Amino acid sequence: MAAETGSGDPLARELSRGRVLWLRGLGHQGFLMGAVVLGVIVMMAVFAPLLAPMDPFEQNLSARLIPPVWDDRGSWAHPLGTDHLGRDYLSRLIYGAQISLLIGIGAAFISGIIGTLMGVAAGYFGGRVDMVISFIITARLATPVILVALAIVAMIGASLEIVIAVLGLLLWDRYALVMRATTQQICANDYITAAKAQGCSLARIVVSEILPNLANNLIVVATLEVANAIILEAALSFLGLGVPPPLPSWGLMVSEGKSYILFDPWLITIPGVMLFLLVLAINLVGDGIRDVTSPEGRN
Amino acid sequence: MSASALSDTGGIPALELRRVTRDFHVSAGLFAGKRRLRAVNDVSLSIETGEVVGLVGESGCGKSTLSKVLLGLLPASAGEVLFHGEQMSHQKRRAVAKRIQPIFQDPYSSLNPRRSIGSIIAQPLHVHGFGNRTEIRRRVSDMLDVVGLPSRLAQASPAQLSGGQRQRVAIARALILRPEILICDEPTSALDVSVQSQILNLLLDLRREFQLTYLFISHNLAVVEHIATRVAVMYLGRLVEVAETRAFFQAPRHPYSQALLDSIITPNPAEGIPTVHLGGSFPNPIDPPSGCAFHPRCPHAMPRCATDAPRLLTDEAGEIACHLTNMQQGA
Amino acid sequence: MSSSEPLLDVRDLHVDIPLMTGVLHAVRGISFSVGRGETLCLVGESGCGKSLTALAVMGLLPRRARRRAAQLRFAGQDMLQLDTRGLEKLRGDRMAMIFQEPMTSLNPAFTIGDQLAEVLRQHRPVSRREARDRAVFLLEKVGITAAASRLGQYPHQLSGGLRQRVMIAMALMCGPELILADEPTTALDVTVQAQLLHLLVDLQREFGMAMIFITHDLGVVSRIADKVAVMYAGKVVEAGGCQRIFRDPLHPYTRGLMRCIPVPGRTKPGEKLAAIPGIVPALVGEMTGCAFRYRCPMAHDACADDPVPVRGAAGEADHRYRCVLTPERLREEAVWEGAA
Repeated sequence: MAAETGSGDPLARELSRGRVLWLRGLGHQGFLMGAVVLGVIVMMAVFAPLLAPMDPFEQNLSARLIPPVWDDRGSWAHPLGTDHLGRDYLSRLIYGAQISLLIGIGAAFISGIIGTLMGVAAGYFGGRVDMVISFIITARLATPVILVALAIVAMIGASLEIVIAVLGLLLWDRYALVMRATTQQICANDYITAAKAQGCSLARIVVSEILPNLANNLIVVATLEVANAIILEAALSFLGLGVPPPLPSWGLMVSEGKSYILFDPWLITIPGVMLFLLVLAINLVGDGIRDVTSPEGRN
Repeated sequence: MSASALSDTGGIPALELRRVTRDFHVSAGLFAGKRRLRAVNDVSLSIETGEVVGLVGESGCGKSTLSKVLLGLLPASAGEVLFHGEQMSHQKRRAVAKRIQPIFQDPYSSLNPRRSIGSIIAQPLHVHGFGNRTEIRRRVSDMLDVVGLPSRLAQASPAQLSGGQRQRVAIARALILRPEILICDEPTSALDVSVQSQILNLLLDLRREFQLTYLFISHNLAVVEHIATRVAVMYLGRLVEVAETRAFFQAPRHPYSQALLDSIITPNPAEGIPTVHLGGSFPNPIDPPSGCAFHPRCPHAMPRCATDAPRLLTDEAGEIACHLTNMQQGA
Repeated sequence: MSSSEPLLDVRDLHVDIPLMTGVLHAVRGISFSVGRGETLCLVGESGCGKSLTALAVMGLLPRRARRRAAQLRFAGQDMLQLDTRGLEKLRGDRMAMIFQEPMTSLNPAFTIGDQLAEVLRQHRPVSRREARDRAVFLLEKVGITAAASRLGQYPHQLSGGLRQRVMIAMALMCGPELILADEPTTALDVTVQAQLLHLLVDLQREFGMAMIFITHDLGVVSRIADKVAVMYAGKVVEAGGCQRIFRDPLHPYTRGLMRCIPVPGRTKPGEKLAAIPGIVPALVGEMTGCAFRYRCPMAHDACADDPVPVRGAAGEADHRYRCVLTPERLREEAVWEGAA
């Protein structure tokens, strides 16, 4: 019967999806730049114990405020100088990458779970569920994040875990909005109806039909939220209610450097530039992923 | 009127609808509250094993809602759906799935782009707890062969397939549980004409091979004439005529059926564009006309049509809901 | 046809779209002409390049696509020499297009009256009042009742059939000489389709317009076309007068298309339809020989050679097809009969 399928057609060759994405990624300049910078910072964080020349917590009050090597008074003993307590600034910067990324990824992970659950539920069930969840999202959007975070940290005290948890519990709104819209689109497809007609359970439909199709958007939102959380942490630290000293978070380093901005400006510029680069790189990668995986490739 | 086909055959129909009605509540405006939209209105129809019933009607007439009710995806607001005499509402979701499966119009939206062809076809087996992996793989490969696809396509992703090949995959997925009934919702209208004939041929072959019963929803009457054994015409949620295909195409009785047949455009350069005697446009289902819903567009409308809704009456030629024929027959 | 110059004359039109994987040759050297008042149907399956051909004529190709042609003349003007300005002056004025999906081609933010008037006021120095009168006149022409009251409505307030009527009225606002209609009735119900086709053909006659009608529906083609061009994989494989093409189709693809659709009264219900095996080839990269040879039941070695000869049917200068086989040979072969 039906031998009339043209899959053997010699002209019907197609590149696999993975290869297409790879080619597109290589052709996307913003994505490449972001990926390189992000890659370097991630490497710094992962291999911090190997890379850091000194212990970032070790104080040496006799070697306070040594300027970086490009300054006349600097030396290679401390390539980026030392801070007001005589701690090696390069080592603190390298370990600081760990803290900043940990906070960014941790907060984005927690908020990702909350936001995705809410968004998928709203998009899949619609009706009343959607109404309630949409209201919660709107309420959350009307909340000033920094003020609430400050209030909570001020009440229960600051620690790395608390900062991550507070940011995670506050930053899920974008996930919820995007996942709700995406889920609605996915559920309009016939393959969801087909799965229901096969007698699939709700869990199976969500896990094997909806989630794989959410993955792209989820990654894009997640990158943006990582950047967002890092900035918020820096802001909290700057206000003195973020990661408690002596942990070397970049935001805290900026905060500690602010008293010395006139005479020892590198203390604030170096971590500031690193924060800027990290957030920029994450955003470039996020935008790149969105462009590369979108159907038309937007080029 | 629901006892119609029973008397013809005496057997128990594979699928029977008894006065099925389905309402939706749509909001009519910010402060206007909700209004009732009767998408399927008192539909009774029985389909014998091995039959192909072509369900025709314009968009918005309730065809797709009816198919969702039959698949158990939407509960009926009133009435009953029976499989071999057993009420669907008394059966488990999975038991229904084993008996009745859908084929959709758009082969691009009916396959999950993130899964391989093999896993798409195997999914129903996993859902219904066929655990044995080699057995599942063998059945998927067999099913690919049945629908005329090479078994190496099991590893392919939907994006690598053409529309016709995708539709074959959708058919394979529908058949792998060996259902008795397929609901085909415009299965060829998104395909190119040369591919349409491949799929129609396949559906005809499969019907013979697996003793399948089809409810074939289409707006293409030429296709319906080709594949259906019986035709049911739907207008604004109601059945207005049911007849054997041959009789229907020779002499449609309902004015709406006549208009539909008039609008078929066959390749014939000697003829012009047909004139369809159909006034007005399709009515708004939220605000259906009084009496016979078709009367504002009907060329034969009588005063009575605006007030009484005609009942679907059965005679030797089929079923029809029209005051005109009822009157002529003195019914 | 008359000896005078045709309204639209297209020679050797190519449309190339560069992709990452190579260049997609969507239209590969097609030629056709349309006389004043004539209807040309471009027939083919999805991906054959028929819509891109129309867009190329209108100068409305997507930005990535490249157009090449040996000649593209419209009403005595060389369109290849026209700049964007010159094209914009032609479009909507002397040539107009009707798309398949009226919802996406009408602007949801403006009323129908505004959109109709805008087309005329862009091209003619007329007052608002005159533009409005013309809009009402045309809406009545396309069979819209209470036309004046419809002017204030937005596209979403109309049904699909009404929207398509508005699109037709919009195309007619400036009284164009050529209308390009891309599957204008495909998205509509069958009953509405017949009414709209009637309307289009009546209006065409009344205003003496030429029309290029793009469709995959052979039934529609047979009823409205003067000339037919059957396209496959970016080339015209057969072209000629409507009567000739339907009475005596020669190219195996044309014959396959006509055989594979069910026709009440001709095909036997429940029996196998002829089927064209396989799928349309991908048009990326260079391609030699006849693109249909992978699906053709009469293919042989010579089909892979370039160029594929264009032959005329004996005694019919207008009826031409692209195949290595002679008309006699093609006619004697009972291709597609019971092929499945």
